[in-house]
Amino acid sequence: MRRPFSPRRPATAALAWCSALFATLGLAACGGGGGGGGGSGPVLAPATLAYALPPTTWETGDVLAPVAPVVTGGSPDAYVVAPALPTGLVLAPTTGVLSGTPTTPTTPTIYTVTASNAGGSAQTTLDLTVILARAENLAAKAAGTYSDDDIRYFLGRTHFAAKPADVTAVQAVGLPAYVDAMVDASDDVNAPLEATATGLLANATDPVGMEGGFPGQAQVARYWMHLMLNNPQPFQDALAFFWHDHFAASTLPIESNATWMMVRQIDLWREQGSGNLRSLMLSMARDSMMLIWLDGVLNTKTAPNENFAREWFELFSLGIDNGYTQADIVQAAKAFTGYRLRFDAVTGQAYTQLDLARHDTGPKTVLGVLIPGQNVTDDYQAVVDATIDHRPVAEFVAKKLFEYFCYEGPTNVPTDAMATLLRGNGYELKPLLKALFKSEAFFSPTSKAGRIKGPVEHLIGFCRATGLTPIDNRAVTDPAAWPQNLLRTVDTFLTTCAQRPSQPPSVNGWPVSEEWLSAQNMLDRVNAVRECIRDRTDQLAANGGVDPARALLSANPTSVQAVDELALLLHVQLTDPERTQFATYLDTSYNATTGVVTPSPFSANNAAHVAERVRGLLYILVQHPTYAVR
Amino acid sequence: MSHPFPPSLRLSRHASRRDVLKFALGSAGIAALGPVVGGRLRAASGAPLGNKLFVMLYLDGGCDTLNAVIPSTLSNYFTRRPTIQVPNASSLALTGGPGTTLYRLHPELHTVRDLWNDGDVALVQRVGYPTANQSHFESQDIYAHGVRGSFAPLGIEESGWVARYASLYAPTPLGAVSVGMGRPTHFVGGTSSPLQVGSLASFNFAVDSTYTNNHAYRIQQAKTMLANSVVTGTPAGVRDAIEQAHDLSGQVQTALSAYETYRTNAGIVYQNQTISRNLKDVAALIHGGFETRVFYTGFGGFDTHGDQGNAAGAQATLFQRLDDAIASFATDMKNLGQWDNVVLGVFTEFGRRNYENGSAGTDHAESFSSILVGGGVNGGAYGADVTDTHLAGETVPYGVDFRDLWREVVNDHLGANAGPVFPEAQPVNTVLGVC
Repeated sequence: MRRPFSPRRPATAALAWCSALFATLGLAACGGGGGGGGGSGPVLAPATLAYALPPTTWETGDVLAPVAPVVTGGSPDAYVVAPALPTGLVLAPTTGVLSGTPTTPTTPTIYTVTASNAGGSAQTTLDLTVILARAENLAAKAAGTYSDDDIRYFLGRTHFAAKPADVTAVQAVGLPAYVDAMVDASDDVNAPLEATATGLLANATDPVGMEGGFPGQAQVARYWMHLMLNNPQPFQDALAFFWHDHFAASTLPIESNATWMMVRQIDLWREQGSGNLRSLMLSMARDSMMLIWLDGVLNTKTAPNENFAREWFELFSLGIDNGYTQADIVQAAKAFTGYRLRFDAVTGQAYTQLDLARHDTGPKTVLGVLIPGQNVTDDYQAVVDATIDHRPVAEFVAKKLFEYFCYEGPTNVPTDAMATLLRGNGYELKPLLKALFKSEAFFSPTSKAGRIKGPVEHLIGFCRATGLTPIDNRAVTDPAAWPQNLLRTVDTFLTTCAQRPSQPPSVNGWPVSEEWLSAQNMLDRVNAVRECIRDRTDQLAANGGVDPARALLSANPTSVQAVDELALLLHVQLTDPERTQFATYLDTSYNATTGVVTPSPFSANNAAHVAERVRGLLYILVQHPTYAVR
Repeated sequence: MSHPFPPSLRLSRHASRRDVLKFALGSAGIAALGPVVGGRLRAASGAPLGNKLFVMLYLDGGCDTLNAVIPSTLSNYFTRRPTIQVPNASSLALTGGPGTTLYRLHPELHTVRDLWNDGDVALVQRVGYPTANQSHFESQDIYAHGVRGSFAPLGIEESGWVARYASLYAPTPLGAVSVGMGRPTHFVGGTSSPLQVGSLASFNFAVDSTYTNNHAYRIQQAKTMLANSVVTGTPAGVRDAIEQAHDLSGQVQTALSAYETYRTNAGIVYQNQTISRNLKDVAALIHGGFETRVFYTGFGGFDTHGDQGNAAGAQATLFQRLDDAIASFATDMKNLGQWDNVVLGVFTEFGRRNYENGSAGTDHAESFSSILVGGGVNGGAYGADVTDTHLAGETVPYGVDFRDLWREVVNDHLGANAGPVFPEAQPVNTVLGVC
């Protein structure tokens, strides 16, 4: 949503004075002169023309409230301006009132306004410049201007949370260098991390040599939760989750002999999510999970199934009715024929395979591009290329990325700039991602106020920021039960909150921003955090007997300092009264039965205070309206 | 096929077109939070609600209703179900009340029989939709969406029909409530976020039991912060939603407590089974006088591919649980003076085959018999009957489009215009007269 900016223009009071003056002079002008009506005497020309508008610089999107001209002498009946005003600003031709909303940047320009009537004319000049609004500007913020708040906000969006160690790491190298390194590392392999994640997929009943090949749906979901919680390069999973939401598929109708396909698909987003968009989309189209999910394995030359072809255009590459027709869907479906579902004869594991006998080998025409008939391979690359090379796929995907990481409803300006960057780099995503996360647009107030976190960011973010992850006590007492049980509770709560990774509600993906707002979802999120803060025994046992919540505070903070430290940790923006309220909360012992409030000065070195009040304040802070806003 | 999970997060592979076609009501795409006493939220829109109540009771898995509402005069029923048939010696006659000799009830459905005698039961035969789909997920979606084909030509977003009803006629979070069903597809979409709870007791800010005093203090602190918060823009929507969570959950917990006192004093007993507990929660909301007019609940286990049983056995146990729940609920509603306002409709995602398979069970099929109970029901048998010719085939084909059944409940019982709730044209329309 766009917020109107105030243009840099004179104070309203001055404007009111000018308007009053105009009214007075206007009347005098009309009433003055000899003869009056009937046209029997000469018409009095306008003498002077002025606008109460000093040299002005606007941002695109600024709303200019109407400014009326101040005229002495005769009353003009026509106004013109040269050169033409910046696009979006208008000069009313009979009243000379200036108004509008500039939409396009200009160089500093002098505009001459001429007010005339039959008797003559008067002129004045306007010195106006329009610059690109920050919220629309893909150019990088000036080096050295990234504030601590910028850094925390950046980490919240790309790392699920702004952990103090990560804030320090960014400050050490500066945000631009950090962004470059972050994007470059986002497809790195982390063998130890991935080994522990893969271990979660194994079952005792797995055939020898196929350990992890038959995971249950819960195991698949927890595989990704483990990665999200523990990845030292969390941007990899934050970006992968974007692609999962965009190319949404779910394991809910999938049997355990095929669930490995979702693991493979998650790996696809993590491995190729910052690579080449063309390659990514081709890999997605041929991906086994996608082939099952959207009926690719049912699509044959004798029994065509249009499900994937339709979603390819409508949801994945262009958007509804954006440059394709039903004929294109039919032709693309023909091109997508040939894959089938097979089952391993020994283990029963499902897999997909190209069967050219089922492939429509005739020529197809998709988006005006002829795909010659052949029977050597599938036609997936041809459809991907036809779409990317002949339609605004770059614009569509750029907008999806922008809306996911910045704010909804931008003008075309930043997304067109992103698309140009994407095309100019042969559809490599890294240059685009680097530019996006350094940009004025990303750091604009519009973007910072922009969107509401989904439950994954809400809960995974809380766990990463605080280290307070709910631990099933079986994990602590029975090492053999780790690590699956470690994630059981997180899974329970993400499922209750309706955002279980690997199970989006439909091919449309998850709700967006305000669509998450319901009393129920907010309550479910708070209950998830309650689980995190109340799991003291297990967290202590897993932390060598020390409450991990103690580490969230400095050596000996006052209650006010403690409030600020925790608010900063969760990137909650408190008002002064709220800060005072919560400092009092820390300094208080409360009897719920009698309602008696007893002062009890807070000490971070009092274990009971940490267990009760620090954890309690975290529980309160996640209910602050700014916590859920990314 | 097995169901590792309850019917939550139902999928659809159909596009929502949400980028272009928003559900054309008020503030499209933004959940209407509805009115809260003393809060700062928008007032509910729409016509005033009547006092009629509709409870949807879903049997998850595809219930073999041929063994529930038995076509007892048809020889093929017996010849094709040698071991899983319910013999006439066991089943219950329906000659009382509106009277029919064509059907008998499974012996466990004795409460339903008693209510039939009172004229409070409608049995609607052969409910289904054009071109049957025997996939659990696909068929569940069709029943939930109220749409057989595509949403695109209808000009509305993909949504459950209860969500559409609630958005139009009961747009507060409590306007429609689902109990014990996860996140049913019936409630997906729309603009009003009707409540979906596991149980009413769980719609609560769970306590930190190690520090109950401080937990109460935290809740008080959070509510104070929210009440004093002056954020604008996006955070204001968050503030309103969390405030509403506190207000509504408080109201619901208070109502639950008051209901338990009433129920205990009135001596009304519910069994400790899933469907009985679910209907007890429904009763608590009714007792509490909330604005809820549509309730959605159910239970599972009906996918009886093997060892189905007959007059006794696995399916019989399920029917016993269903009957017990209906019995308690009927007693409760009569005690509250609400029975005449109630229509409770039992449905499933498909019926099952006419014949038993090699595992003494039945496989997926098409149409089913729907049982409706309540004082708001016009008792009797409805829909074109099952015939021996039907039973000679694989499945009993549908005769009544399910939309016609629910349309009558919405139009004639709830008193709301069902047109926008079920906008898709149907090849077959039947006027039943069940409410």
